[in-house]
Amino acid sequence: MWQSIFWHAPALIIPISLVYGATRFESPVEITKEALHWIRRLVVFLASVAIVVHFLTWLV
Amino acid sequence: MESSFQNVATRLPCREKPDYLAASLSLLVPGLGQIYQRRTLKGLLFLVSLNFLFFYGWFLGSRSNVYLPRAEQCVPFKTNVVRVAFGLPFPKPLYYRWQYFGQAGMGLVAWPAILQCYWADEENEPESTPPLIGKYLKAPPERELNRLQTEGDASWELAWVFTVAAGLLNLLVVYDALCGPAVIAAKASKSQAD
Repeated sequence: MWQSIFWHAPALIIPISLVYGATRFESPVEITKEALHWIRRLVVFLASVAIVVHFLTWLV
Repeated sequence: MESSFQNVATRLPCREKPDYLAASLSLLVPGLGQIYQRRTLKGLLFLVSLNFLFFYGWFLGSRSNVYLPRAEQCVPFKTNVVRVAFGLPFPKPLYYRWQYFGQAGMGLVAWPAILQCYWADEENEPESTPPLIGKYLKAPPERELNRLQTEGDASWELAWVFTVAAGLLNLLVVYDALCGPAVIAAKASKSQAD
């Protein structure tokens, strides 16, 4: 478990969300809000994909 | 309640005078254009975030996932181009390492791979390296690439995603330096109405 590639997910999600939010707005407050929105969306999406793939692996 | 599709990001018109110098600086070094425009906090955010993302992926990939293969090492061996659709010539190194299209967006930290690709004659001077950059972003030997891809977990395959994401995000940063932030138009008009 400690060698899972999912431990690298925060290092991918957080910078992407921050940079994308900063390209949309100027205010630090707005950037932070947008970044948090994208962090939530990315986490939900990646978790959904992981669950589906894990389920399919279990089936096989 | 507005749906998310009604808030689809549409860019505001580019400012009257696009700042090409700032955009060029951001293309070379992510965030440098914003710092030049005295948007220092934002520039530092881009600089730190994108370089962290790029080098995290580079180190995760054992410093072997940002490179362009030498043309003579890719089949067919005797040509430097590959014929794609309609017989159009395409540089063979890019054809075999398409990830570099994204990685190149990071600017100066990624462009030495191009120099490494065309620098040394592997047969006569295999140890020759360009001045200043040494072996930085030199294409690893094929046996090393095979070892990285067959041994261990999927980290090597995941690692290049980091570097490509960083390069592609820098294109948005370049636009931000050129024209300012790409604000969602629906929210902008609402704030103007207020």
